[in-house]
Amino acid sequence: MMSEYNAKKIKSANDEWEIIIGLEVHAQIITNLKLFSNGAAEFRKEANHKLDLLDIGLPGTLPVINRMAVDQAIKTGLALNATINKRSIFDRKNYFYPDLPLGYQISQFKDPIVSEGFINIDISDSKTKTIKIERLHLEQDAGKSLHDQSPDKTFIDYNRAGVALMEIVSYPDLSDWEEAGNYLTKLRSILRFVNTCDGNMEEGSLRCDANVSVRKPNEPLGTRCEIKNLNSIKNLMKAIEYEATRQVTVLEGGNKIIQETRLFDTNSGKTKTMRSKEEAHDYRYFPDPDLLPLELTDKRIEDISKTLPELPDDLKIRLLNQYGLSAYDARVISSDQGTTEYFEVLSNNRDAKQAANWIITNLFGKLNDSGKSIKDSPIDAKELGKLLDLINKQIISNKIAKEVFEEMFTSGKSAATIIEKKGLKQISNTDEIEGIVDKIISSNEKQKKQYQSGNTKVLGWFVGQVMKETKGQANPSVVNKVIIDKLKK
Amino acid sequence: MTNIMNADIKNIIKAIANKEYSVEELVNDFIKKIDKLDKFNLVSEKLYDEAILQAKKADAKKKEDRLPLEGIPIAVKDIFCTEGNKTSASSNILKNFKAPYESTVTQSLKNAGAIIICKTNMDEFAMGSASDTCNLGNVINPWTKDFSKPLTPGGSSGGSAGIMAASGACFSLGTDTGGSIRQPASFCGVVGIKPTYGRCSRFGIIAFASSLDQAGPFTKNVEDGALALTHMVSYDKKDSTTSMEKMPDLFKNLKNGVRGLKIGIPKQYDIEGIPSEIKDLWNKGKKILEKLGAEIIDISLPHTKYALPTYYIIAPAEASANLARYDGVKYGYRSKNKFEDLNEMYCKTRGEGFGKEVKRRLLIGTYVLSSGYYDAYYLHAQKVRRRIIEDFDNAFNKIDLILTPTAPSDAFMIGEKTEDPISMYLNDIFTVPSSLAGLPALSLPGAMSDNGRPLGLQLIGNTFCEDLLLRGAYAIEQEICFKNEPPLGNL
Amino acid sequence: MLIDEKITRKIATLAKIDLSEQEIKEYTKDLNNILKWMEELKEVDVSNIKPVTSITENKLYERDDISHAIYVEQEKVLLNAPDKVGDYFTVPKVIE
Ligand SMILES: [Mg+2]
Ligand SMILES: [Zn+2]
Repeated sequence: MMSEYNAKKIKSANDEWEIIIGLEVHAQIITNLKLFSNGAAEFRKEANHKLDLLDIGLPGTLPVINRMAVDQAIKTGLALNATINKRSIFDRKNYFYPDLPLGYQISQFKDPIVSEGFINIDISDSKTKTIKIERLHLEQDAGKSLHDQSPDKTFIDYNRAGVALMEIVSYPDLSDWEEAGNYLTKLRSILRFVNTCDGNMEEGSLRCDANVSVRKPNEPLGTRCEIKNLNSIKNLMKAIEYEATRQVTVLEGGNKIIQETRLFDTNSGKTKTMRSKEEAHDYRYFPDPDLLPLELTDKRIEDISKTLPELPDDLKIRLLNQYGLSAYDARVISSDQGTTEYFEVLSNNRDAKQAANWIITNLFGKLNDSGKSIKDSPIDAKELGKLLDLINKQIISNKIAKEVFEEMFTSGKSAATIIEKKGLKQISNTDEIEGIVDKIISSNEKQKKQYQSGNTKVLGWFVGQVMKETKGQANPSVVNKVIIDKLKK
Repeated sequence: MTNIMNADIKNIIKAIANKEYSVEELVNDFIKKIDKLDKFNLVSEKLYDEAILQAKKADAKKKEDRLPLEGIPIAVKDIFCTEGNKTSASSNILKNFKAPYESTVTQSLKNAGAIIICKTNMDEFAMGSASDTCNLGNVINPWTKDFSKPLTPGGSSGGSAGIMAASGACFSLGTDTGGSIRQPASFCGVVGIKPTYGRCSRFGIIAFASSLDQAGPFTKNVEDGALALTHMVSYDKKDSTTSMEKMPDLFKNLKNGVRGLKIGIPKQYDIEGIPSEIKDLWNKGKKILEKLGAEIIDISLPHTKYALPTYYIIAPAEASANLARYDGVKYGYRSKNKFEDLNEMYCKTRGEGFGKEVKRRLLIGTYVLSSGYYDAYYLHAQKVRRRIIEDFDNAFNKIDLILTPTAPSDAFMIGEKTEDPISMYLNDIFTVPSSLAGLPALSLPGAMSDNGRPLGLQLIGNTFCEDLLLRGAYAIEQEICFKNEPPLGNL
Repeated sequence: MLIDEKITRKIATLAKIDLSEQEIKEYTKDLNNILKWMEELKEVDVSNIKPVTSITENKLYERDDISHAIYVEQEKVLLNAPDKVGDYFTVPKVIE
């Protein structure tokens, strides 16, 4: 019987609490220039370099939108199964902060470029859950404030100020931290597939805020807290788990949750109030009079939709159907374009399940240990393919193959070279194997009799002896066959 | 030529081409003139060295290399960024700010050969109607007879209007948000043109209210205005709100008269309490047009009375965001007072750096956008603005031009209205509606008031119809023959 | 009274403008007069009216995402900075 999927709940002595989570993700868009200026979008070491006039908010400078950023937002919207709004408006979000050069952020408030999409996440091997996306809008990134450079001054660097961001806001459809982690993983995978964001959370090109609240089943929504700036999927999950538990503790203690912004402290694993006496924000959004509404034609949207690559969900279905992979394998292989490409080369004219298995169990293991991505794997798909061919032609055994694989990964040498040099070729020659089997049977009369009197388990012991004798190089199926033949005599 | 500084620009160009005058001589004459005008406080920065250098270069040019405005000295409102020069919009918060770039409009004029001879004083950040909020002191109208009772040149482009009244440049530049070119033109007895919103790039112009700000010229006459404007307008990729609509040839039909044109007279502009001399001027305008063969048609612009309050919601709202960048971080003034933290640095910098009227408008703007009031004020005002635009659209289905007075009074005394913001705001009652609709409009001198001060007539055209607007103005100008000059004595 | 001194203070805080007590008094009075004057806008029927968002009717120009832009000359970036250290603009320490 298949086990019923249930989202995790916080259990207390008397109650079970549900968790309600919505995520706001800020994704830096892959472009050369910033969203509204000619400043360089790339990361660079020297502070305040390669800037445009607008990046330092000089008077009389005006925003001019970057077409590429718009195209990238459309592409992402399409990949998120969303509606592309043919008319969207840029608004000014007003607040003072030194890394915000204009005193307002150009963003989209009432009329975003993309709305109402969804992502499917896998909640088990056989089950997916649809997470609805409320909106995706374009906005400017802020610069950077460095607080640790001097005892009495904060340093301001506008390199990042104005870089194009997509803010992707989910509905509160996520029910536990694992789903949240799943959602962010899937979103990142989609962004990488369509090449609109590099998804690098450590470097800050992908950042996540989580809105978390708890409630007892069938009760109205609780007050939510926003956890800001979660910089890894692991931390996102930890922070939500901590925060949900905290909220339950507060509520069960008879207290109320205060709606506030909190930060996750990675050292303690706790969330804490961001600023105690933070003044209430009033962003005073209004349409930016320096810009016109952004109007998109059907043709433009259509043209961009033609450039969409196969996306993870479709790819997964194809892997299931075309290659007969298991749901698990299909999901893992489809999560990343590099893996998919690797798989498709490796499985070409080979057993697809074997190919998937080698990637997931062997290659991923080594890549993980060495901190490498599949794109810079020391063994490329063609070379690994040759190794699989040697197994399948029974030139080497699976066991030997693993040894060879290790050697290939460290030395970068080909399978053939390693096998040649170490003399690891499988012995499939029946004559040679018969000789060894004869020798072993004749010196183990006791076991021979046991087999002949019906104890077939002894067969395995004989195989083991032969393998030992041949240092594992004997072809196991040939060995099996020969031993059975000989013992019957 | 003895009085070249009073000549039409085309005649000055001719005189230079014929070597009757060198550009250097011309520039030097204007320099002498400007120096004599110091007591009017029209100028924020004199750019003489640069101007003389440019003049020498112009003189050295071969005839065939000469540009259309080669060597023409101009004065520029200190709201235009001009590269390497102090540009402060008459505000202490930008005192000593050196613009590291050039506005598109001044660049276009430089490319056409014009020479910037000085920058002119104005109302701080263009917020005002009397040029009495300037950080360098009040600007004084050259029509002032009694210096113990100095007259305002109007505002916000008071310095640029005043310098034209005193013939201190061949033409000058202003910006008009709710009347800041037309009202001072009226007070100073010169021509002031605000083209259709989107004609002149706003790039490099210090922003007051982005959806309203437009650059335009002050000139001695309509034909000079056509010439100046021709070289100021452009579609500019640096300003998304500039228009791609091609500018019509302003000279082609300039002198073709108004026969057959339909001129609208909006009854809502006949407001109670405006002086009879202004009504008389308006009538005079009507009569002239009628005499010249135009058809006078009474029209209704029913939402006229709502224009001013609408404007005083929208313009401050936009300004409250446009002026948020002046925070003492990247450039400009930072408070020298001690501050505990960043917030105090902001508040002191802005509290000390901005003048009284600017702060008043920033407070209004912040209020009308703030949570709970946005719908009732800002959003509502943008809807009323649509009504005002519709009024004009309906009118222009039937007519070609609208004739009104420019301002409800002649130049008043400095300080007269400073204490009552609303009475000051009422100065723009005739100019604000067309600003809200983005329409081209101009003021031309029409008569002298009983007090011996100029009074202007306003013409409003349909969107992108600057050619018709100037044609109408030229016809009136030829009939009126306004020849009065300010009492500058032996200056 | 549409607004009182408390509201004026609140707006001044939002606008980051330090005001003296005297200014608070004056601006409260001015703002009240101005807002009262604006009340007449309520007479206007704006049902089914779309607010103006822009009066230019162009299609929004979109810039090419070229890979080598011309940037502001480096010496101009910090030219007008009221306070700087090296390549950085600086402000009084922000306590996070
Ligand atoms: Mg957000
Ligand atoms: Zn955001």
